[in-house]
Amino acid sequence: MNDKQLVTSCLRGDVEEFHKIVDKYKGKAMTLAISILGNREDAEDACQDAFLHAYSNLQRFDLQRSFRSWLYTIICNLCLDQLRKKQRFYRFFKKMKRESSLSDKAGTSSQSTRLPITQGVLKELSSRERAVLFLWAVEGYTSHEIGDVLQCSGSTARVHLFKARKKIKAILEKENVSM
Amino acid sequence: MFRCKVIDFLIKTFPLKVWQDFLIRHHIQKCPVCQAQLASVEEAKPFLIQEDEVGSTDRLGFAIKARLSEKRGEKRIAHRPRPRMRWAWTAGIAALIAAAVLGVWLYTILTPVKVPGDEDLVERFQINYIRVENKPAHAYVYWPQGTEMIIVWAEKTI
Repeated sequence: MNDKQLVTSCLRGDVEEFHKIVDKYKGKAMTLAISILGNREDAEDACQDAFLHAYSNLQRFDLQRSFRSWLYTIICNLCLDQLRKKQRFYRFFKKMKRESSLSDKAGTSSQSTRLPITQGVLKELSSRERAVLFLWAVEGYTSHEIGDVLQCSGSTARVHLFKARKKIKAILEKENVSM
Repeated sequence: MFRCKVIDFLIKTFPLKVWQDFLIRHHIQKCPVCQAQLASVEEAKPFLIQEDEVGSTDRLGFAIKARLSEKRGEKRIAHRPRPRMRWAWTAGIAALIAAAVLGVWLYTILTPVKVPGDEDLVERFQINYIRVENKPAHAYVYWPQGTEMIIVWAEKTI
C-alpha cells in the first residue's frame, strides 16, 4: 500500500492504517529531528507531536502532495519552534542568572536548561542549515522541494544549502590541515 | 579565480537572500572552482545521522500509538455529549410538560366551583332602597358606557 492509499484509508475512518504510516516513517522522522535538534529526547518528543499533528490534520492534507514532504514540513516546523522556545528561555535564564548571581544554583540548573548540543560539526550550522543539509544529502531533495518542506522559497533554501555546504567543506579542510 | 573572490565578497557583503541566490545560480553553480569549495553529498553525509544509527524506534512507535489511542478516546468522549445533550433536551421538555399538566390539575382542584347564578348576581347591579338621614332617598345609578364603573347618586327627598 502506498502513502496515498494509506492516507485515504485513514480518512475513511480506518485509523489502524495510521499505525502503518507511523511504522513506515518513524525512523526517517527521528533522523530528521535529531539532525535539527541534536539530541534524541527532544527529537522523540518532536516526532510524537508531529505524528499526532499529522493525524489530527489529515483531512487538510492535499493528496496530490507527497505525504513524506508534508510530514517533514510538520517535523521541521515543530523542531524549529522547539529550538526557538528553548533559545528564548535560555536567554531569559542567562539574564536571570547574571542578575541574581546565584552561582551554586545556576550551576545545577544550567544542565536542565542547556541548549541542545548538536553532535560534531553540525553545531557550527544553524538549525535551518542542518535541516536543509539533511533533506539534500540524505533525502536527495532539490532546493525547490526543500523550499516546499521548509515553507520558504527555493532561492532561500538554495542559499541555506550553499552556506551549509561551505561550512562543512571549511571544517573538512581545517581537519585535513590539522592532520 | 579573481572573479570567484569577488562573488564570495559580494555574497558576504550583501546578506540579501534574493541577491545571494542570484549569484549562486549565475556563478557558483556553474563555476568548478567555487563548487570545489562546497561539500559534496558524499562529504556531507558522514556528518549527518543515518536512519540505521538512530537505533530502535520501537519506544517512539509505542508512544505515538498510545497517544493516538488516547486521542481517539478523547474524540469518542467528545462525540458523546451530542446524545447526552439530546437526552437532556428530551428530559427537559418532558419535565415541562409534566409541570404544565400538574399546574392545570392543581388549578382545577384549587379554583372554587362556581355556583350557577352567582355570575348573574355579579353582572346584575341592584339597589333595593337607599336611605339618607334615615329617610328614604332617590337613587340614581350611572353606568358610563364602555367602563366597568357604576356611580350611585343618592338624593334626599324633600
